[in-house]
Amino acid sequence: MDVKSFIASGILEAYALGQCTLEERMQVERMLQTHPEVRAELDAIEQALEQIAQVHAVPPPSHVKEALLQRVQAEAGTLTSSADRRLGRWWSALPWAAALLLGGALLWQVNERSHLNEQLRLLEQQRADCEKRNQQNARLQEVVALLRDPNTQAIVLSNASKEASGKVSATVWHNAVRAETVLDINSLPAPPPGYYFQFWAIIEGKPVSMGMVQLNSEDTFQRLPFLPEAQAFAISVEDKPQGNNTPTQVLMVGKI
Amino acid sequence: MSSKADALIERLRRKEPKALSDLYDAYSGALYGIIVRIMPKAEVAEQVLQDTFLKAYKNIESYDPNKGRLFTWLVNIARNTAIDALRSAQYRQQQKTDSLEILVHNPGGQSVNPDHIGLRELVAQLDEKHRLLIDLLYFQGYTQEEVAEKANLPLGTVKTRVRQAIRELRRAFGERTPAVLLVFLFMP
Repeated sequence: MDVKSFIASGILEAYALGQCTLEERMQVERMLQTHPEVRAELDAIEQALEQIAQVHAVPPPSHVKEALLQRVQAEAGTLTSSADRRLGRWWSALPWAAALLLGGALLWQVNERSHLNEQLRLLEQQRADCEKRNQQNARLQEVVALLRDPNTQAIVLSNASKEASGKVSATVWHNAVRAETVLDINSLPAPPPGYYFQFWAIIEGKPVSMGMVQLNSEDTFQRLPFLPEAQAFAISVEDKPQGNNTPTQVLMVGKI
Repeated sequence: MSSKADALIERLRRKEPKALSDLYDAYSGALYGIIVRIMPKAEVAEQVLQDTFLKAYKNIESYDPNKGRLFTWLVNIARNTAIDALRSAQYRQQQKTDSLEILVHNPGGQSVNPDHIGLRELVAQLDEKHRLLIDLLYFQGYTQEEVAEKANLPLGTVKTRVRQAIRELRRAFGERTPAVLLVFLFMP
């Protein structure tokens, strides 16, 4: 269709008045894109209608505008909080909530497990401690029984040489009936650094080793071999942890 | 399309609340003038005006400047909303007859914006049958078919007269507006 007769047909007026069928509307819109003169014609028609509408304008009451703006604000506010949307949000959040819950449960279980393991380890340690103390107590009871025995002799070992400066001593409990010999570690002085104490029995004037003194023992006493022939006890200072065959320097001596 | 209108459309697209206020200030009177002609019941007409702006604000994305002026788009929304209100009120049949009679007997009976008082005379100078057509089609939302049937005219005649009416209108506004403005300038 040529542009002039298109314009003359009155289709643009009908378009501006909203009177076109869908088909006519599409035809006009195609022409608008391709023909600037059609555009200009439509614009003039629309302007004329707009002007006459302005001539016949009726100012609406002021409350209409207020209500409109309030409504827009209210709708903007409720847009995100309507029940439907809330429900929708809940449903969409469900997988995340489930995953989070599962993750949380797993984490809790792992945590709980390590916590339980720790508790178990502590219990085990306490049980071992208890066992050790029981044994220690039993040993102590034996020593107490020994000390209560009237046949037990308390033998005090003291300075072997007169010229030694400072008084040192050690106590040994000896019971020939029970065949027990026990050294009271607490009564001993500390050896010089790098030196060790060795315990001896004197039998017929000759020293016989009864072992090294265990200064770092858990108990405050040390059981020694029972030698019925022993006539005296001695403690020597040695330079080797395992001691020597003969005493190097006799520190203390005590007769039975 | 003016750059001012373009800027307003851009602001509406960004959903600026102030843009809606400006849109309302620019067009509410002209739209309300059309709405009250279709739906004379004030409280319903006010609701229609509100709905029109709300629809425009929400659907501004669907407005295409290449397909016509913003005001034309707004009028179409207003007219359809008003006609829907009229139909839902089951108001139309009675009203249609009434307004046609009113027009026949009292064709100049529209309320007129005092800002355009000079233009009123100009519109009054339009050929009466042209003014009636514009009033029925544009202000009252009748279809060309309805007008043809009521006026007992062939549809082709109605279409031709619509075109003549708008040409006359364009000529009147195009030629007379500067004179009208001069009158305004020399008014005490």
